Amino acid sequence: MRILAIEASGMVASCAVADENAIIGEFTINNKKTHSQTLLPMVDELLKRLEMKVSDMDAFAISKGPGSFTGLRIGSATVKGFALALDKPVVEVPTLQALAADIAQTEKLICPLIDARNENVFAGIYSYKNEFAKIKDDVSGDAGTGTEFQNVIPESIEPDMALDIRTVCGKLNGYGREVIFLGDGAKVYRSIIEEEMKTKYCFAGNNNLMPRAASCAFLAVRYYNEGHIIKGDLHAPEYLKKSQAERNLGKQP
Amino acid sequence: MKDITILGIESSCDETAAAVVVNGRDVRSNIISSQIDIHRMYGGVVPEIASRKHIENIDPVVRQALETAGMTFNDIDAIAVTYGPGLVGALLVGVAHAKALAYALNKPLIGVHHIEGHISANFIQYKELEPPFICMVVSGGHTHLIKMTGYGEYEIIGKTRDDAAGEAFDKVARALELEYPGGPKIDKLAKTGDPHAIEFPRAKVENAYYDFSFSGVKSAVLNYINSCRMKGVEPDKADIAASFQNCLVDSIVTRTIAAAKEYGLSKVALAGGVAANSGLREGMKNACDKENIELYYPAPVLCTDNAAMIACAGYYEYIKGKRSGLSLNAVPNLKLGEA
Repeated sequence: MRILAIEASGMVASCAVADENAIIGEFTINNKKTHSQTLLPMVDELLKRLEMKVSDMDAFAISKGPGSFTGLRIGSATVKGFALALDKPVVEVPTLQALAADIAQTEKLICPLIDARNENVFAGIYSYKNEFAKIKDDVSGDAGTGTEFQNVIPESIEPDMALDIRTVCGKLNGYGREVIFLGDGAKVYRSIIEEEMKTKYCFAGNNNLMPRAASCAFLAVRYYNEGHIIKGDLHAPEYLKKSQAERNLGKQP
Repeated sequence: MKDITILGIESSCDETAAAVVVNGRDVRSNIISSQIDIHRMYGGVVPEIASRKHIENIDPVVRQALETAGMTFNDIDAIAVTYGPGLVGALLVGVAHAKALAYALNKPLIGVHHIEGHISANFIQYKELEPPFICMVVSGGHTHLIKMTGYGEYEIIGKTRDDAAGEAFDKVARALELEYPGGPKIDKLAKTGDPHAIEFPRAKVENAYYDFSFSGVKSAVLNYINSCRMKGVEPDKADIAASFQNCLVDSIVTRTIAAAKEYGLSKVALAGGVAANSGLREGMKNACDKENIELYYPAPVLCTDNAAMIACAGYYEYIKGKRSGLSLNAVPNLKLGEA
């Protein structure tokens, strides 16, 4: 089973191929928002290097959002095109969960933050649950590097949210647990986080700051195996925010 | 010769459309999912909402285009897609989808200029129509008088210096408190009014006979409405609509006929959304009849944004060998002649 994953929800354009055993390849660029021009040539280049064809894939995974509305749609339209052309399913992966999965097993809370401008963020609160404890018990043995290890994923303990950064910090303070911040929002609002946080916290390094298709593919393999697949027609990005026009309409008396 | 079958995709504004066309003119399906009802409550097209709807609609619309044509992707020789001009977010959905389809199916991709699509709608309507002819393109974003010299080949003779004709229609419609989209509403209202009730100015562009200017007449209409209201008189909307439309039609018709005569062409075609305007059709028909010019205009369904016209334009590009690459981008301000 092979999955091609696409991540285009923000500044990063990324694609990756994974199967049950490994991330087979990844191509990631964190430079300019030119996804419309770069994404498909990147997929082409990646598949050529892997000596694979897009028709060799069993499913197409998409980092479904939240994020840049336009970026999300470029990724979505691409994945939908693949799925429709080849009659293969789509696996939707929450962008913030994929981002959280960049942090390996930890007992801390993971808070992925995507900058949504003007002190607003798309935020998630994730943690590793029971599986982590199981792995920890086995830490002296081989199981720690086995299949179980690979399948551990961070789970959301609150629905992903679109809020201002200070409110997110307030929510986190309520948990009274140590927090790891990551994502571009962690960098942009670092000083506000430092001001607002009452519990212990730390920031992930640059290697963990961005959403990557490898993480999306990693989660997608698990979702695929659990049967969480949909027809491409049914996939639409998770914007978490209505359009400005709809919000304005709602404000009118 | 083997038949060439093109799948066309269009998402430049508020219609998600897909069509299957054989040999450029034989339309096997022409599916249009319109969002007009959604945008009406905002008084115009909201780009973000349009883009979101495109993403939801694109797969079913393409599927339906194939099903209606009784075909599968195996029967398709190439995919043509509108890459500009239009709303960038809206265009991107069609472009990214078409590129992914073409890549996964290993079929050629052809980026098509939206307005060249509108012109091509005439080839679908009239199987015998061939260039050269004069084409008057009138839409929400365009007012171009062009000389078609071949398929996908043309010279621009004149264009608007300010508002496009469709834009002027929309702005006047808003001033008359007509519902979006305003063009058809003005057309309907104009039938009940006197086209000579108010003489609005017919602007000429100095040293450029074939160019248009519509911002003057638009302002004149707005001023007229305001001055009526200042006097406490309710303006006669039907007379305003009729007089305004007559003014626009007159500007368009006189230049088109003059161009046909100057270039010695006995065929004139209308293209674009405003080509569905009955006043324009009638005015142009009368003028063409007087000069023994044959007039062509597409049926209303082909005047609105549709993908059959994109597949048609794509076909003529295809047989000329034009192909677009995987890096094809949406170009919101794509100019005519730059495709």
